[in-house]
Amino acid sequence: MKQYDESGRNTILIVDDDAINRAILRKIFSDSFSVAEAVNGRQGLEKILNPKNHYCAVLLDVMMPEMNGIEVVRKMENAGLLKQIPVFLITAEANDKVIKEAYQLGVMDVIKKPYISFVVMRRVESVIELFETRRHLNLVVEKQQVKLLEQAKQIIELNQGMIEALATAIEFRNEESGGHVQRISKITRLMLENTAIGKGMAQEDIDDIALAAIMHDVGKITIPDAILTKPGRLTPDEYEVMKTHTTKGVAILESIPQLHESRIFDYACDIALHHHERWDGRGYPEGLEGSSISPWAQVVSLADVYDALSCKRVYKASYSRDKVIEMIGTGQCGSFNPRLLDSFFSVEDQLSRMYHSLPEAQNF
Amino acid sequence: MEFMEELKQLGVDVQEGVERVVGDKSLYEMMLGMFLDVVSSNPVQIEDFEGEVHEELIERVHTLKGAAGNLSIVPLFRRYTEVLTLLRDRKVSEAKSAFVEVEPIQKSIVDCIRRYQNA
Repeated sequence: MKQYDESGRNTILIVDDDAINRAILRKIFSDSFSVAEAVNGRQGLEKILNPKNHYCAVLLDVMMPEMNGIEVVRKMENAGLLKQIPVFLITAEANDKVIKEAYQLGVMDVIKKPYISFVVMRRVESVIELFETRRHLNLVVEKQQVKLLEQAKQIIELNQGMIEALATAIEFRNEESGGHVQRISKITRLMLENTAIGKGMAQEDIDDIALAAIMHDVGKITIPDAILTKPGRLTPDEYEVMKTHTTKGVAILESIPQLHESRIFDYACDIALHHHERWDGRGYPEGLEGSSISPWAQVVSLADVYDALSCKRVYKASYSRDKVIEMIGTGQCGSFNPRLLDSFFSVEDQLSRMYHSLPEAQNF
Repeated sequence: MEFMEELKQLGVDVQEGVERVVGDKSLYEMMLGMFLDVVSSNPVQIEDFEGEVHEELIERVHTLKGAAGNLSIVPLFRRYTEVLTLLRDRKVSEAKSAFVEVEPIQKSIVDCIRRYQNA
């Protein structure tokens, strides 16, 4: 915020122990600016550093009692003020050494006394105008940046909302509430952020994977209701159809051109395709084995099993927490990477809290 | 003789001095009054040029030179500039000789200003 007088004019600070020189400079600038004065370097610096004061320029003598002008400039530089306030040395001591040091420190101009009034006025006003224009442009750029960031945030939120809406719609077909995909996303995030399995991953990547995890079952939209919502055990043929939700999920994701540009695209395809692969190679659709399954697909895979066992489904009741842990630990739902299991059990207590008051996890 | 005319006779560049205060003649006259204060609060005497050069003397000469320059009191500005340079070079006896020339010129100008200020 800059300092203005009642007429809205900017304020110039004159720092000079010579009353005659202060009076002359006041006369020169008082038609266009509000003028403040200081009678030595120390007083001038105090005024400059006072956050209540905001000067559009400082006119500074060199030889002054208490603190000389060069010292004032040094202190201003240390405070990072020379890029904000143009400083002019107005001095009779304008030898080469003083001029060089002043410019090196960041003084805008050195004006030798005795000076010609209109020359001083034009030189000072030109620089003030330049600083004002620069300040104005910086403000405009700052405002535009804030606006752009806000718009980008809205787009990201909209994208995320649409992805969640799509996944939830699929869950509803499955006679589930949509909470499943949200929990998978949360479990994935929690494990990647807090366990060894996510060690070394950038937060940005974890955010992307957690969002991509929401779409792991997108291919289920292609599975007929008779199979998807069948209360009992699937026949081998029906199971083969059910397994296609992995490959069809990738096909759906690939058919959305806008998604190709997104950072989550590769993660989403990998997770949709491989979240039923198992560590021993007995999963589907590709029968990948061991570390050929990506860590994020492994995490989503385990999260999916944990959630499916903990909650009631059309084909089964919910299991108790002890039973869930036992089934996962003994490989009854397929084998998992031992390191992944270690990570999982280290945070399982934390994960279990999601299910404590969940209606579909009444036996948990 | 009119005040400004008399100052011109004493070598003061009145036109430049008035232009420096954006053509405000009465402000210039007021500042000439301030010059009297500068002279009395920064006394320099021939005895000050004996022995070592003191920083205080340099500061007083610097102030007088600056005030004379700002008001275009050219004869004083030129001589004080010379005195100041010699003092900074520690050439005390040459500075003293130069100052000897200053004294009568300053007295004439100060007397002139004082006469019109009191009128």
